[in-house]
Amino acid sequence: MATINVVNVAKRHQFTWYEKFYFYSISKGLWITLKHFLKVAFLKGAVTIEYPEKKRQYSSRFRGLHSLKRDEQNRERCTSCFCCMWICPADAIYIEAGEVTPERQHLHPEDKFAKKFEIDLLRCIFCGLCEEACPKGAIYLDGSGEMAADNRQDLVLTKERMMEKTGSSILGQRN
Amino acid sequence: MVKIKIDGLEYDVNEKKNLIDAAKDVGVDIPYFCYHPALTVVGMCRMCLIEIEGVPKLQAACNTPVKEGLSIITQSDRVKEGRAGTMEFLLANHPLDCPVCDKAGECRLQDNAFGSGSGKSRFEFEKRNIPQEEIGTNLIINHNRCIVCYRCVRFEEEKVGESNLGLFERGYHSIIGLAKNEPINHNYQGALADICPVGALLNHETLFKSRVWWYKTHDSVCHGCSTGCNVHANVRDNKMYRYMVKENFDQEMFFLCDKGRFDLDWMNENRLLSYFENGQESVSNDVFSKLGREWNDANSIAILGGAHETNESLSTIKSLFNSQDKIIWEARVSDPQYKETEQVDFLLTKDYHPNTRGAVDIGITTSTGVNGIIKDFNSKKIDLLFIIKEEIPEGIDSSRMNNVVMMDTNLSNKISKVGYAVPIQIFAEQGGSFTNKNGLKQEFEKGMKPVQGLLSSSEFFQKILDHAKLAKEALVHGNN
Repeated sequence: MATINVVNVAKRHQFTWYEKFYFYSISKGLWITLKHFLKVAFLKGAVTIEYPEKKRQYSSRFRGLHSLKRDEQNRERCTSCFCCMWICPADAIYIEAGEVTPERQHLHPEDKFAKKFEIDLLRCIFCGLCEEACPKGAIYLDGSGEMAADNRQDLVLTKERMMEKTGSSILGQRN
Repeated sequence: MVKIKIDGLEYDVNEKKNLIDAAKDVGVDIPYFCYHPALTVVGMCRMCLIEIEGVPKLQAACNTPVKEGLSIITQSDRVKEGRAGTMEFLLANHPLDCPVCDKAGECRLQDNAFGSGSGKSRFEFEKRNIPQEEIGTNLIINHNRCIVCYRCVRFEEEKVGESNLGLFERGYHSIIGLAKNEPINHNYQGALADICPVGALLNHETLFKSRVWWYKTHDSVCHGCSTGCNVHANVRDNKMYRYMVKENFDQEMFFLCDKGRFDLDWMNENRLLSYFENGQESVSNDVFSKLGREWNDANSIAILGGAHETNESLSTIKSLFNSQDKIIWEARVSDPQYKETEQVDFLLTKDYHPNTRGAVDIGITTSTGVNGIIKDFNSKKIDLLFIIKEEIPEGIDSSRMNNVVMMDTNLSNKISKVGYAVPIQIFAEQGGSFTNKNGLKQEFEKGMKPVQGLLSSSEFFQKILDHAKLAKEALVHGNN
């Protein structure tokens, strides 16, 4: 049986006369550079963006910083049921429950609320289990992925930092 | 024992028991809300519906007497439909706020809705909404969650002997309320919240502190008084959170008073964890070597207290002292311990020590009692006085306070008064048994982990004896 498509590599590649002419290969390489330059400079074909000034749209399934939601009447959805604290595999959530007094009843749908709600970002592994466990649709990891800080205190999300200012009927943006 | 037929199978059951309990004994669960083994039967919730052979309509199991030849069916489609219907009615006005409710996790309504409910409701109107009320010094009622099972009213009337709670209005408007103008302030508000099968009655003191499923449960005995009620001790993160009743049919223990139930903070907070000498913090080594020398020098040593200790701990300490005849030990320090048991109410006794009887049974008594010891101590017949987790008895001369060694579990102003204060473990960190007022010896489990290095009282005495021996040997060698 005859062997097919066999290249003899034992023999060195023989340059043709124009390959031996040095300028040909140089200009071939420079043309590639020039092509990309023209594309970016005149045809706006860049694949990168100027990151801190311009930002891309995240996927709706991206899990970033946590936010606490409000309902249609602008009341806090969280009723401090401790389900997220319980399910959290990294032990990142700390909640302190309080009883709702008549003065603040307009802020809460039930008679129990979270006096303290803290998420330690250094512990959080962004698994999204808290979202899943929440029976009220109060917590979602729908924020950005930027969370750098230069001290530990800034890496603990407090209720004030997570709570949305306005409410809506949509229970988060997951689908 | 009589023979009855449940779902076609014949069982031997105790005819003195209620049908629900009798069936439970042989492994047949009948769901219920209003039935309670220690209270009268009213048959108000209609959850325990069963078919009885020969009776055309569904009957309530709690109201059916157990008799020879009774044949019941607990699992037929008719029974299931009846129970699902009851469940749907009970849930018609229920707010379904389990995430907020403290009862969630141990709620009968949850259990029975899963077990017998249909899973959907046809009630499409707005649910009844009555604001929450404070009805006791430590009790709130959430009317929306109430299923009108009448347990709280019956308990108050039959066990506590007060009838402040009552059922008002009728039918749809039925509401549990106060008959008198004053709030409930008896010793059984925790028990009221406990027997409530749903989250309608709740205690202020434990409100929103934790969730039920976080607790690790240990079988234990209440430390509050000499009755020794059986409890489930709920521990979370090595902190004692609450006591729940452990039903004991043999001893007819079904309730717990507030005195024992809510007296738990001392186990978690304000604990004595370092050694003190003359009111100043010291080191255990210094304290032990000094105590060892004082032990040798003393001609007579007295120990007061021990009724908070377990039987095991007491007998260990007693066996340590077998070879030492200079020790007298009196466990009874308060008047009620010397008398016959006196009840404050149907559970609580006047003796707030859990193990007085155990200490007496082991023989930790003296003929002169605590007053004799104090007299001898003041007149310097006794050189060293140990007090095990008791108040400093009245009548001790302030000049003799330097010779008092206080073994305690909690920080207090007593520490600055006495010569030495040493930390010891609490009963829940040891496990063992208490003997209650009737001489019943009840075992309990170790529920909490002691802080590392914290000694139990028996280990403490062992260590003192070791140090005393060392000091004696050093003296002998020094003389040679």
